[in-house]
Amino acid sequence: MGRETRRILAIALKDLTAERRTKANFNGVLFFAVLILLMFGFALGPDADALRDASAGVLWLTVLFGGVLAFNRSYEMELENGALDALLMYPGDRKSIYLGKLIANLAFVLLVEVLLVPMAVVLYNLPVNPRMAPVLLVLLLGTIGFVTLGTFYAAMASRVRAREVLLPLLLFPVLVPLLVAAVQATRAIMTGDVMGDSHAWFKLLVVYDVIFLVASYFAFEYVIEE
Amino acid sequence: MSNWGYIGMAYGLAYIALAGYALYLRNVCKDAEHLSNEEVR
Amino acid sequence: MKTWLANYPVRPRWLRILGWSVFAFFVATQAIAWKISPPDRDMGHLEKILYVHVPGAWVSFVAFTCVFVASIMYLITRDIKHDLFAASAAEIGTVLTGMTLGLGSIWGRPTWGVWWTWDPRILTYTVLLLIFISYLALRSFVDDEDRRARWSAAVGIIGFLDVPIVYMSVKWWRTLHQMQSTPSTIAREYIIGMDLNAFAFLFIFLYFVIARYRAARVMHAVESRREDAALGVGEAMHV
Repeated sequence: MGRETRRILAIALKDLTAERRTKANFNGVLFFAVLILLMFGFALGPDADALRDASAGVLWLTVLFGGVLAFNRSYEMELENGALDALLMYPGDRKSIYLGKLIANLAFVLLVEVLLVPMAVVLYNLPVNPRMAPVLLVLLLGTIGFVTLGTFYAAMASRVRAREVLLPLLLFPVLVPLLVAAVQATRAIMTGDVMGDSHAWFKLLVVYDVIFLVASYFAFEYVIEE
Repeated sequence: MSNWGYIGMAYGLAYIALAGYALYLRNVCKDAEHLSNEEVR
Repeated sequence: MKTWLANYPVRPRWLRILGWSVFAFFVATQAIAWKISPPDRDMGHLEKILYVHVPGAWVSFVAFTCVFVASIMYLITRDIKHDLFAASAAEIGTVLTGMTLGLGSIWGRPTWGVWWTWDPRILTYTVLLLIFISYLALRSFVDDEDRRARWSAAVGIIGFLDVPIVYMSVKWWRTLHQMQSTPSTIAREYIIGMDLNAFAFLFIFLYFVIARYRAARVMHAVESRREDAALGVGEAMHV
């Protein structure tokens, strides 16, 4: 295992440990996400068919709204007692800080999803069978893209006055293709994917993830430096 | 509304947007000139 | 520094002349386009909206490309000039994009019967406008100049990369459901009218950007001079 890999994992582990110790943040985000899921149900229900039709979109919006709360937090921890400055002073590539935080945030959001998706299955009466398995891949690819840009933009947004407003303002417009692709792929799979539509969306998600992973990986150094 | 109504709306919007920005720009330039004169003096 | 300011007028004579020439050219191209375009068989005179809508759309992409290139240039050279240029282009790009979107909506009502439709181009433009606005919002939230320049460059680059993907995604999204029909056969006169006006808009854009950029540079020079004076640094070069 290379030195940089160890550094990346160390940062990811540090963030996750801090998260595990307090749990308040994770519980808060999870509760908020479940709440949104319910509120959408109240807003769109009670017709079961209508709910099921809307469920892919609802689930993704829930993930986005919940996740956006988590990203700022991952830098706020650093800012509270000047930990970021110390982190920046360590020798080595600063891109590792980005990847470390990315992994920690990815683990965080995926864990929220692991608890959220079964909840959505129950609340929205979604079918569960082996044909639905590709949905998990959609969820993973979509979350990677989301967390990639979320971690990147939060590095800026968390350090300004109006961070709660600024992060979604920066993040959501660029997430439009991801949202469209993820929701459409999920819907296609849920309706049996007779037309084979989901392939195009999978491709788009992969392209999106790769482009922004590369772009934010290289741009991060400029954002974090002081 | 007749087609001419929409055309009028469209051109109204376009010209107001351009003229509005031009006016704003004029103020910005005046401010900058003012600041610059103050400094140079 | 003092001499630099004295020798850098915000609106020098040549810029004023450029401004009025651009204005005259714009008036002329608008008049020509109106005059040469025959009414369309289906749409009557409505197509005249396109003489401001289509050039506005093209030039807002030019503005966005300027932001992208200037952002990259800033990150490479760390010269604040590029940041000020990107900000100027973004500001004008926002106005043009907003205008284009509004015009599209006005055009859509009589032709498609709705003010808003989930058409790929409209959606791409909406996202483009949102990205521009978030770019300007970020700038207004960050006080430190160096930080603002680096951060907004990053946002400018990411935003620019996003726009083609947005277009692709909404296009597939629409075609997989139903497609908006748009007239594709356009007479030669329209093309001439639109091309002429595209140049007129491009020149307007150039004039706006140059004037905005010059004002921004002067303000930046004055500010850094005052900061230096407050800190007692003296005549440092911050141009």
